[in-house]
Amino acid sequence: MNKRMLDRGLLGIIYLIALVGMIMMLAVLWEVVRRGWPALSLEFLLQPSSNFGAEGGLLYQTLGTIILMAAAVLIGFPIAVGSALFQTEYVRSEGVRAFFRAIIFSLNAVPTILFGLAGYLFFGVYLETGVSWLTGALILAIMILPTIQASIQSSIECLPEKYREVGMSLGMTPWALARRIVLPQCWHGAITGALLGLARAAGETAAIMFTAAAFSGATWPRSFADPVPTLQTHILVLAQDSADATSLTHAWGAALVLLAIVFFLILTSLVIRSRFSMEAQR
Amino acid sequence: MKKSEENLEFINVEITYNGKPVLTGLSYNFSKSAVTCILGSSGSGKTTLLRSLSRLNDRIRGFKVRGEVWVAGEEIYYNGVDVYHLRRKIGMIFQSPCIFPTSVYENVIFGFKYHHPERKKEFPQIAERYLKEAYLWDEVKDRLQKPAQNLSQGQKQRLSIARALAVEPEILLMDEPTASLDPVSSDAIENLIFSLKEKRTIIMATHNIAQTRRIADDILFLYDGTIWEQGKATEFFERPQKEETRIFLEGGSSSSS
Repeated sequence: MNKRMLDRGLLGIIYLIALVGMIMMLAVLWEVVRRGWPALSLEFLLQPSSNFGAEGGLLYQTLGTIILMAAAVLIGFPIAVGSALFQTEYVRSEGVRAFFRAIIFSLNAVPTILFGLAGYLFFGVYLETGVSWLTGALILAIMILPTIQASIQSSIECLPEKYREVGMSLGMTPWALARRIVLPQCWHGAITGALLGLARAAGETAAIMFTAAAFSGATWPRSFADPVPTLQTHILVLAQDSADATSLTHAWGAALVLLAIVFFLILTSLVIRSRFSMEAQR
Repeated sequence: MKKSEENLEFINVEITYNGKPVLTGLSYNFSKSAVTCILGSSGSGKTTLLRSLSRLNDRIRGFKVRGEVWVAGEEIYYNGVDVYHLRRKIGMIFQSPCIFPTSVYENVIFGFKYHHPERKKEFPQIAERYLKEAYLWDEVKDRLQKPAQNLSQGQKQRLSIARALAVEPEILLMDEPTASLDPVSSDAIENLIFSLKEKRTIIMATHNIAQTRRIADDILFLYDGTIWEQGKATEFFERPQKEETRIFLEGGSSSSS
């Protein structure tokens, strides 16, 4: 076999793998849309659920998911920005940088159920906070930290050194360099990271199951200690009641709404990344 | 020991990178309000010498300076030195202009705005004053709010000079500022250097001999990591003392004019 044939063969395999992946993803999407679409209506989106989710809509579940996502990003985003800036702008030793990177990225590899369990034991049992949306948001924030930070850090590391040198030559301190030069030119990475973090938080069930989510009865949280219903746990509850056709249809409807939220966030982050990173590097 | 406020001097300086000497035995006292050109072939240490005057290599791991470097009456590698204040006094112009992706106006007031946020009302006058000083005002006065990235390379370099001047440095370091420019833009920068030297000390690293002949008052010729020859430009070009200098000047004359 000559080199050209080998090259073509390998290219063919790569295309085939990509195609299989894409077909699987499209099949899942199609299944969710096909089964969830009949459940969708304005009432379904805007009414509270009743009869353990078998009737009514998704209003409080959608709101609960949005509250958890937003709070997790609000907590995780500043920590991720600070941590990325610390690693790129302040730490000079490669060894220390690698150590921090290893810690942050190993967070990514921790099974999410462990976050839920650890969060439950620390907040719920040790601190006796019970099940509350704030606890869930805190755990989600720690969980999505690597996602947000990786995005910010990669855009900071792409910034040419010459910008920092100009700032230094004008007498700027490291903090001023970070605030006035690095961050303004890397905000697209930060926004992308935040949106990807939101998307990851939206899809998470295990971490919030013990700590933040109420499976039924909860509505709008009136204090930091209240639990919230979420789309993720709502799907879980409805799917368990598979004997009831309406419950199943509602579960697929909820899955479609959740998927639409995640899809919208990922799409927005891709648009921001491609448009603004090009502008920043012009 | 305290030196005069105008003093700019190397005393027996050695610069090493990861233990390997880059420049050794540097001793030189720069003339005030003059253009001193640092000549030398690529890799001779011109940029390192220039950057060591404003401690711009501090971020580089393994970079060390031994000996004394005096700037405006202060030994700048002494532990207690305020390096940010030092860099305000010493402006730096880089080989290729680095412009922030914002407007012409924001670029020119960038450093001034940082050091004097309270003098907001003066920003427009500052922008005009230093764009005029960099001979750029007439070309950009109608597009101050437009993206600076759209300027030509020569205009960008003059904008970066205006930005450095706006911080009011006493000394201006220039690292081959015309290397990436066409002849017309180079002429504009040369004229600018002439006008700037009335008020500031200018130290420029270059390997362009023709340009050095036109603008230099003093010359520092670096060879093999040391100062090989130094003195007044006229004498240096008319009566080079060493063989290596003559070879450099003859080789350089044919390649750059």
